[in-house]
Amino acid sequence: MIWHIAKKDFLLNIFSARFIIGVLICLILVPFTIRVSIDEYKSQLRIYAVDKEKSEKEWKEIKVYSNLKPEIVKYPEPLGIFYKGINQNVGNKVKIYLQEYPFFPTGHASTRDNPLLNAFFSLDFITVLSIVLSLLALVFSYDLITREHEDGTLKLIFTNYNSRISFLIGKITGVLISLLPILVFCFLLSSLFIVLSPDIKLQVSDWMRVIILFIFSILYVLIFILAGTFISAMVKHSSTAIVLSMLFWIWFVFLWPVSGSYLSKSIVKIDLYDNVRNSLDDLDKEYGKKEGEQWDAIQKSLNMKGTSWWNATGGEDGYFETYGSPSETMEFHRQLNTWKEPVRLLYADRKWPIQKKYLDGLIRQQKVEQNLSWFSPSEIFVQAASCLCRSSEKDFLRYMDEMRRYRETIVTFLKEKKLFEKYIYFTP
Amino acid sequence: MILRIASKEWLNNIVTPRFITGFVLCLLLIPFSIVISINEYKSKMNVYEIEKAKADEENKAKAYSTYRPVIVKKPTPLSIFARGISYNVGDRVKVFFGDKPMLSEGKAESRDNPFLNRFFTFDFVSVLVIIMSLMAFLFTYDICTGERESGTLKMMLANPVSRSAILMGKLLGTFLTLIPMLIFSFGLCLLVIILHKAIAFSGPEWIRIGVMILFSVVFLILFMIVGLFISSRVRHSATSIVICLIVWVIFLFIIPNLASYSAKSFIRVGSSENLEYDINSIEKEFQDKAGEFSVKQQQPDWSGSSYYWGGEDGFKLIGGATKNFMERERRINEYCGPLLIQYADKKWPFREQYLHELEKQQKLAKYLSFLSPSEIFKESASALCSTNYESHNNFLNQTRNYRELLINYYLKNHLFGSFSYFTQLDPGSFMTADELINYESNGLCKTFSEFNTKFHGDWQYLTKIIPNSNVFEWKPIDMSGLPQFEYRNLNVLTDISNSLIYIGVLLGIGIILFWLSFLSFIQYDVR
Amino acid sequence: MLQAIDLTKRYEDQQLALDALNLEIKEGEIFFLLGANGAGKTTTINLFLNFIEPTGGKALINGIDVTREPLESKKYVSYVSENVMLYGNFTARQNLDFFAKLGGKPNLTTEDYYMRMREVGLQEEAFEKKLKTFSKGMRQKVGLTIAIIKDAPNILLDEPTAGLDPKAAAELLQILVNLKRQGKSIFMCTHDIFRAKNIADRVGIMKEGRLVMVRTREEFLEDDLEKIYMNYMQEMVIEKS
Repeated sequence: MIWHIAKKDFLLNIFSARFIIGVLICLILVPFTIRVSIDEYKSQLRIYAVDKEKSEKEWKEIKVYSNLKPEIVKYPEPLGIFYKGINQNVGNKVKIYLQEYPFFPTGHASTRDNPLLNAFFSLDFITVLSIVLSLLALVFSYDLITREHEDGTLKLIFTNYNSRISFLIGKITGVLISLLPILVFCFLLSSLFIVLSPDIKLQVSDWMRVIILFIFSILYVLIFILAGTFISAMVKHSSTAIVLSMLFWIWFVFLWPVSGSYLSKSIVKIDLYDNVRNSLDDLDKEYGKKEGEQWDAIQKSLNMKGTSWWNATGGEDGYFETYGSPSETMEFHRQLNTWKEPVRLLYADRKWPIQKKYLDGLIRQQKVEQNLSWFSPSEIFVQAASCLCRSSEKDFLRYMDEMRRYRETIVTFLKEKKLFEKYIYFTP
Repeated sequence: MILRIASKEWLNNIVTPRFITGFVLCLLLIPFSIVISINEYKSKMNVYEIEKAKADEENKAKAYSTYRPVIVKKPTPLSIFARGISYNVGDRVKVFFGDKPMLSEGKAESRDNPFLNRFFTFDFVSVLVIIMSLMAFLFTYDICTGERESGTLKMMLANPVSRSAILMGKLLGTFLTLIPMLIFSFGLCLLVIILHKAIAFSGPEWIRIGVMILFSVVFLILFMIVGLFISSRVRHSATSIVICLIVWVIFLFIIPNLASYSAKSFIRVGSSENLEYDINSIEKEFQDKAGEFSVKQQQPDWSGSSYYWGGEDGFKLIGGATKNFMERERRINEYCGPLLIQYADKKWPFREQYLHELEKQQKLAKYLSFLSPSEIFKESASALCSTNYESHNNFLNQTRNYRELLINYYLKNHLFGSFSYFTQLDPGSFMTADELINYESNGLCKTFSEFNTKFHGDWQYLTKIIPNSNVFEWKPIDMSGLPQFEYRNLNVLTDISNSLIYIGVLLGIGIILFWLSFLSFIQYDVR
Repeated sequence: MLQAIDLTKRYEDQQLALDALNLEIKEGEIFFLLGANGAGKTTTINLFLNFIEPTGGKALINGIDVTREPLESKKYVSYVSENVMLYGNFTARQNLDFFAKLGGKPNLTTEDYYMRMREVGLQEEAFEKKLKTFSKGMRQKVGLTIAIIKDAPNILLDEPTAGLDPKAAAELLQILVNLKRQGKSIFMCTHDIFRAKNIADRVGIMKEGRLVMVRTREEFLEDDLEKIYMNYMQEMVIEKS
């Protein structure tokens, strides 16, 4: 009986205007989105190649330990074609410094491309899907019950041996199998585009994730079908039902997520980034003063009236290289480094709590937003997708933690070999 | 007759649930959006205060070579209404001599939290557009179909009433039903703003707000006509509402997002890394030429100076060096200063090209988004609130012009070739190497060669320091005689006339659609 | 007076809805038009009211061509449609007020409205109730009141007794008789053969767009009207005996 009703609905839906329009919309939007995403991914790959080459070249040219500042370039996540998530907002490289813990990545981020454009978002596959599928689900289910009531066929059906439950399940199944072809088509088309692009390599585990994404999409459609059915059962006329469905759609797909982010910003107040940067800069200035004092002290102790250098280059974060400077200067620098580098590390440790506080604030904001997002099915879907596509905030935080641990290993290496106190630190 | 039909329409509409729904939506969403906008404005003001303080510190210069003013643009309170691009672009411009300002720096918003980045603004105009267009559709989707389905259209037409009178009457009645909601929205908005006390608007700003209200009336009428058109083309209200809502979704949510996205994919912008590469090669050329010139200059008698502080863009502060040395530096500056400016002009075409591409992308996105009338209205609102691209471009142009002004002042007053370009010491006090050695060694050495031979050039013998030669302890000099930057906002009339074109387009579309609806309704099958 | 002269309507899909109708309804006459569903009865009314354009011939109301001077012609006709829905959120009086003003009677008072509504047999308590609470019969009565209050010399009714209980139908027809006595021309489409015998002055039978038979009251009282009707439906022609 359920199957009977489902089949009837499926046949009615396939030839309806809304199905054709739905297919057309997907036919236009999905290839467009996927093509743009793939293009962006390819340019990310190019940038990755350039950046990696540059950092490897720099790595090879290191002659002194004070220049040991590895730059890690992140390989662009291929699943980002499906859902970009946070990866579009943050840069792609992290340079390890002694003076500071790695805070945020730098480098190319696609949102910083054109500040003149009003677009501050991304249209990727999952985003388009979450909008279009929910709309289609509601458009197909808003009159599930009201239409039968208005056509008078509802009464006819119930003059037969039918339970209401089986009728309901049958109708819902019917809508689901009407929408399933569209969903399958979207996923197949995008997978096809990816497979046909030679540069993009997806592992087997990645494809598994795509399949799980597909299953989640089905669940997502189902939720909206149920919502539409519920609305249809509560009202008398189809026109009321569709208005309520549209309001429901706008609220849960657009307004609630935005309200969520604003609410989380106002519930969890964090300091402005500029203020954080200012505090960090203040600590740097404090260190600078101390270094100046130490500079003078060592000069006095060595009885130097001034410093002169031959063939010296310097740079950020204590990088300093010299050949053939007078022995006094060399000794001066050795003593300075012995004092300087550990103190700089100490200051980095002092800066870290400020950074951590800010990061914790961001994380708390993000957690509040996540909790709020449980109210909206589209948000749940998008969060699930971001976890699957390795572009969620957790992945990002984990990556940065790895960077910080890597910095630890470098620091330990430098400390254990007592490299600060050696001449090798600044002269080959 | 038209008035009778209009009043019937109005009376009929205000007892329906959709009327109450409209007010409830306004009551919920408008204050919410205004409060959020105000908070964002406040935080932007906070950032502005911090940046202004930093800029004021930076702008204190010890010599003309170090004076490269930082200009910070104050956020306009009108951005509460329409945000435009004001939250995407930075508000800080540093005037370099060696480079013309291309874009502003210091993007406040997205530095904040890269975790939270949404595709939807929540400023007043966005929310207004959503509510008013939805309400317009909800009241006009059954303007023709509803009367037909209830048989009252036939009954009206059985009387000496023309179809055009019926159409105008219904439209007028619906308009009078929707206007209270619009006024209520703006009223709520202004109430919240006044209660907040933090924001005060000036006279011209109130004029802009008034014009925005008028524009929003045009916007409302346009959406009513779209709804009327859809209703006049179909026979059933059920079909009409579905088409109206799909059109609504496409106009308000799909077209704006798709437009920016398409623009990004159709117009490729060269990477900023490439641009930097080109700029750097020109910079290298400049450095090479400057280096060549320096090398050609005669070596000074003594290159030691007590204090030397150098930096980018011609930054140079020197104290306690020989007359010879200072003169050499002066000659180098005299040559390199104008050269720096020349090379800035050489870099500019590359930057202009990049900027041009960004602009092209932005313009394409704008025109594509104009497929949606709500976007046209939002653009006109942001033009009124000075938060659109043209306004920002105007600011950038003003900074570029100011740079020209400042450079001309330097050139006219021969500042590059003056000693005050890089030192606060009186040129008359400069000494030769011998005199300097004599002074600094407190009479111990009489000549420079004596110092080198007898004392082996050992610095410990130079105990006395020339007074006021420590560049780090110099006080900033008074720069008020130099041209100062004054931001001149486009005046009200210019902005209004700029935005009139958008409203003209809206009106044009409205008139065409109304004409088509009229024709449809004349032929409308009333049975 | 209502006149149809060779009134023809052919749709775009070549379907002939009305085939050269020739009809004249004089003052003080009640004319019943019978016919199967889709025979063209409603089309006739729609043509008179200029809801659709004729493809041939013309329709005249009080001598005024409805296509040439539609607004002028509508001053002289009242209309009661098949399914009276009106404005559900308005009360009966408000509906009446609106249509009366539209029909050219702006100066009527509430008392006038109440009087008319009493005349058609509407209950007092219904006057100020919203129309969406009315039963079908009550709505028909309001529709009739609207037609009456206009006081036009011609009245067109489309299936006014469909779905009414016998008492309400009888009341309605009695009102029509009163109106006829005031000299109004009354043209009514209906399936109701039985009542036709009671009050119609003339009866016409329409079949597939053609007016195949017209009988006066005397004529059809002699014959059995039902038999005639059924026979016409079966394409048999019975001569007057």
